[in-house]
Amino acid sequence: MHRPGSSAAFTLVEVAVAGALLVVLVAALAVSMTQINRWATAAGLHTLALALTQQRIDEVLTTGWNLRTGPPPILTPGLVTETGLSLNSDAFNTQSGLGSSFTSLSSAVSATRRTQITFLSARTVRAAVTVSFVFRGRTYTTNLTTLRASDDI
Amino acid sequence: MPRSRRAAFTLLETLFASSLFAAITVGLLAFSSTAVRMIARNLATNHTHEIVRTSDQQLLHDLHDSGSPFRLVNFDGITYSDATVSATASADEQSQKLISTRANGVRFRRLLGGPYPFAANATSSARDITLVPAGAALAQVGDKITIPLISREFDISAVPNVPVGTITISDPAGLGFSIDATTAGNITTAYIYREVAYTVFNNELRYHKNYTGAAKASYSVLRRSVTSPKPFALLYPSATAATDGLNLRVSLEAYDGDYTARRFSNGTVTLQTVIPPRTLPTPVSSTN
Repeated sequence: MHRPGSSAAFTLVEVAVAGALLVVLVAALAVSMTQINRWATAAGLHTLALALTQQRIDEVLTTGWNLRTGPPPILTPGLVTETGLSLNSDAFNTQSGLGSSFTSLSSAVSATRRTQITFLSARTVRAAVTVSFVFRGRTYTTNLTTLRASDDI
Repeated sequence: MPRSRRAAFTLLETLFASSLFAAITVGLLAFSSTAVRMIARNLATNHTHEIVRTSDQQLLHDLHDSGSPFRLVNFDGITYSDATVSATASADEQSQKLISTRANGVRFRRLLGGPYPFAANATSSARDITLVPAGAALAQVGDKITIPLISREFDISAVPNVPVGTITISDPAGLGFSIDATTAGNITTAYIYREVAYTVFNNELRYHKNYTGAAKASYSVLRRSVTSPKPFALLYPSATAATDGLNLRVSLEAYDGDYTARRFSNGTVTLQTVIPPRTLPTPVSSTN
């Protein structure tokens, strides 16, 4: 039998605490999902940065190097820094017939590529390529290193 | 029986509870809608990333492996044709070279097999050469055969396989060198290269493992959701110089329209790179 004055229902304080907990939980989930999406985008950019790094390594490995004529410009000793490289978009794809209805969705992120060429001997060099980019205030970096010998002995 | 003073909710209590319930319901619905959108965006972003990443790995593997320069092709849904390319005014950001007119396909040659030793002697004027049976078993008309010992390459014009292992080269002058394959200690080997191709059509990245004759229409779909209509180009050192066909520029755009029709910001990923064959000079000097 119901007794008058007993706590058969939630009090206002209980409801308020439960509501506050729910709000905190929902807010935490929303923040988490937003962060997960940022990480997903960053992971995609990281793959593209690796491709940009790989392109320079390929260039180092395949540009002709004849010992008699000297190393090609790409193998000049020292550090070369390129800034403002498009990471996740191709500006030319906005031209007619080269893009799609999705081309414009990308927010351009640019990268900086550093190529350090070091001569280990007269016919052997080491190339260290680093590509870095900033996304949402955080800096991401990829590195690849390779050795290259001249084409002829 | 005494009547309870709290037998029912007051109007104020009911209104308050209803308002609270309505607010919570609206809040949860809004959150649910946002959550669904975020999850869809996450799926789209990750799937697009995966499309580009695996495409990049596949292209790097196969294009590095090319045994010939690259030639661009166009496919209009019916016919595969060689693209007529020339330098444009656009300079590639990564290499500073001029980008050619674009195409939706690229063909090149890949090592089909080898080294296959000669199984019989061949005279300088011979057009029929005999390899170990495994070599001739793989070869077909349209393939190329290279013989490193004499630094020559030939088109294969027939595979009679009589006697076993025999293939015919198209050069009317023959090998140009005599091959002694029977003297003990003499080993002369040959490699066979086949034409393959990548095309992009109908939002699919396709691989043609045998881009020869009627077989070129056969392909396997590597990735879907590729949205760039013409991803391939060659690079020119200047507006007047010819291209060596050794640097393939890829601008592969992907957007995952399978998970969602929504157009998410940053949902598009464009792989932009230049890929050369890793073995230079290429074993086969001409793709044709």
